[in-house]
Amino acid sequence: MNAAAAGYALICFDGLNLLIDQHAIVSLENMVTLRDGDDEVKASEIIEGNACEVHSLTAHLSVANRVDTRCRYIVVLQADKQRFGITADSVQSLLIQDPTLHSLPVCMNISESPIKAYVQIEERIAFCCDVGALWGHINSSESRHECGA
Amino acid sequence: MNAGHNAVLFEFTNGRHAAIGLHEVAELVMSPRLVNVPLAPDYCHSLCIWQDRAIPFVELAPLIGQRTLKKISLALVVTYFAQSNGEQRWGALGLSTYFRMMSVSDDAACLLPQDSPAWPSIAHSCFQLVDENVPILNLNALFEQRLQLIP
Repeated sequence: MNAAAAGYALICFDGLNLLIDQHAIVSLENMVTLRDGDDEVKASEIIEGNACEVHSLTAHLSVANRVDTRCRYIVVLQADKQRFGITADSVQSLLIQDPTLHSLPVCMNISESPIKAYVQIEERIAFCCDVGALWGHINSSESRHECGA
Repeated sequence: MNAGHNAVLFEFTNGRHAAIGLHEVAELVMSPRLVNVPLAPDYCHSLCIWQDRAIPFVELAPLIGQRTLKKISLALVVTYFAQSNGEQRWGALGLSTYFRMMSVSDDAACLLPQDSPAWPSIAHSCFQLVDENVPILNLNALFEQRLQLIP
């Protein structure tokens, strides 16, 4: 697979490292601010005046029943015309300019999956995630088989 | 190692065995480092980090519709040449117990087990070992295609 041309952000939650095109990130919100004291963040949250759904995902990319308020951030993503947020423990720019993307082995490649490739970053593996496909996955019945968070 | 050994036999679930060619074995890794791959099929749910490579980690039991009853704590790293381009590749088979080397001759050939329709897709031959039909895995088929899970 060709080296990536665009910049990437490394988004971590539930032990999973996702690599997302930085252009797809609309904003990064601090969960503490949104929590506003004692009320738990609802799955539908107003962020900067723009209403968008917020979800917590598990390491298996299943949608948790409730937003995980232990996460520090909400990353607001833009997928085509749809804007949505996912909670994250950490978000950082990938310092490597042109990471080498490796295709997933054929035996574990699923056509509907938003993950098609991975990058080795020192000791870590980060999975490249297409935001449009992630939004499609979040809205599919397949993503809601597990409970969590 | 006995000079006559040409196969490696391993148990993939209670009392069930499969084999690969001895020349296909690269290394046995204890406590392999695995990274879960989201949405990957149950039988190959992880990448195994081996010698700075991330290689697919496969468990046979779920693939043929059986449960993995023992804890998988070993990775048998195997190597094969991709049929598509002749490139050397590596994969890992999850094991719960050590493998053993053995000699297999052509006169032990038999039919594949009938307990799973997956066998013809992932095994290229089979031999009789006491009262068990032991499939010999086709590693290219196992790692280089997306297989249907048997419910």
